[in-house]
Amino acid sequence: MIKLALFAVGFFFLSIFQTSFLVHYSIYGRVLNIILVIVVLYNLFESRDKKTGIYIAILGGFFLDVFSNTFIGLNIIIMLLTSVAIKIGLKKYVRIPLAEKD
Amino acid sequence: MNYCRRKRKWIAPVLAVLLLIILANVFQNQVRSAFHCISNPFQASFWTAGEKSSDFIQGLSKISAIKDELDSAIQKNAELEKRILSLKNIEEENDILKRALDIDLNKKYELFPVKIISKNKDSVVLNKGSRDGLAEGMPLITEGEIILGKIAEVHQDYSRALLISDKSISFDVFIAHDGQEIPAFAEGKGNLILSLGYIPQERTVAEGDIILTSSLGGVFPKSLMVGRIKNVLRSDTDSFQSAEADLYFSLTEIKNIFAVKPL
Repeated sequence: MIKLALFAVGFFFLSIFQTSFLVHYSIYGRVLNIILVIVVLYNLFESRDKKTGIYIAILGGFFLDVFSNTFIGLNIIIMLLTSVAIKIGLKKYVRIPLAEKD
Repeated sequence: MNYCRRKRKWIAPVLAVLLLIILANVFQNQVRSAFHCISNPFQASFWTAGEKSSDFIQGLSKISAIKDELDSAIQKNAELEKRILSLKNIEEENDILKRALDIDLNKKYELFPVKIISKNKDSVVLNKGSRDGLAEGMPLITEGEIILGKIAEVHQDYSRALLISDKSISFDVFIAHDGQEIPAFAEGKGNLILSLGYIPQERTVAEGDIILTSSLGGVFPKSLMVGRIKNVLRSDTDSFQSAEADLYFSLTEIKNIFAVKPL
């Protein structure tokens, strides 16, 4: 729970950073999505059985939605689908020995 | 049975997420304004920082282009300064010519305004040459019709003139004394000294008498101011008197000089 709260605070500031600071460094109009990168990395290296990555994806998506112009939910769905896809992919097809602590 | 349980396990979180999305969208204005209210100060600082840093980084990436632009700007600036200087010179010349017009100098002569750019003993270098219409032998005068010398060498863009005090210069003058014109012969002695000779013994000349050019020798036009008699040297054994003269001009004080061609 504390981990999620910390992620919530972190994502809040990261989404502000992404929408206010990184927009000045867009490449061909594209801005680096740090939250997506974090969500992907977290889900990649999280234990297959744990679900924190999915909650983190929802949180990240929510903050991205709040600071974007789209309807609230688009980024949540994208992040959630990404996270679930990674989880399923890892569970069914990939083994990363170093990531599997338990 | 297990499949159903597993399915049920997922239904609740999915429904929760959907509910969250629906609620957030229903109250999206309130949700967004609440978050923006908190984040505004941070966003402002991030925006400013991003703007400044990106400007700096863009500046770094365009540094070679900026350097080229700077070089070209410096070059253009130099060209413009040169142009301004030349326009200033033209303006000055125009002013001089206007003043000269007022004293009717241009009715007697065709005027070529020149400037002294260097001096060596009793010769000076002028800033204009044959391209500007100067020719060898042209007298140099001031706007007050004081004779300075004559042009000895003419090049395309500059000329060299000899002052009347140069040792190679000699010319006919007359001394104005009590309304009389006494002929004499002037010779340069160097170092801005001019001596007068061949002043007839029977004529009286005195210190302070004005010396004017004579057209007799054809060197200078008539009635240009040369100087004043400084001291008269008279000897009974000589058939002529001689004198030393103070020149009217002082090179440091002269501002406007013309090379002239009598009309």
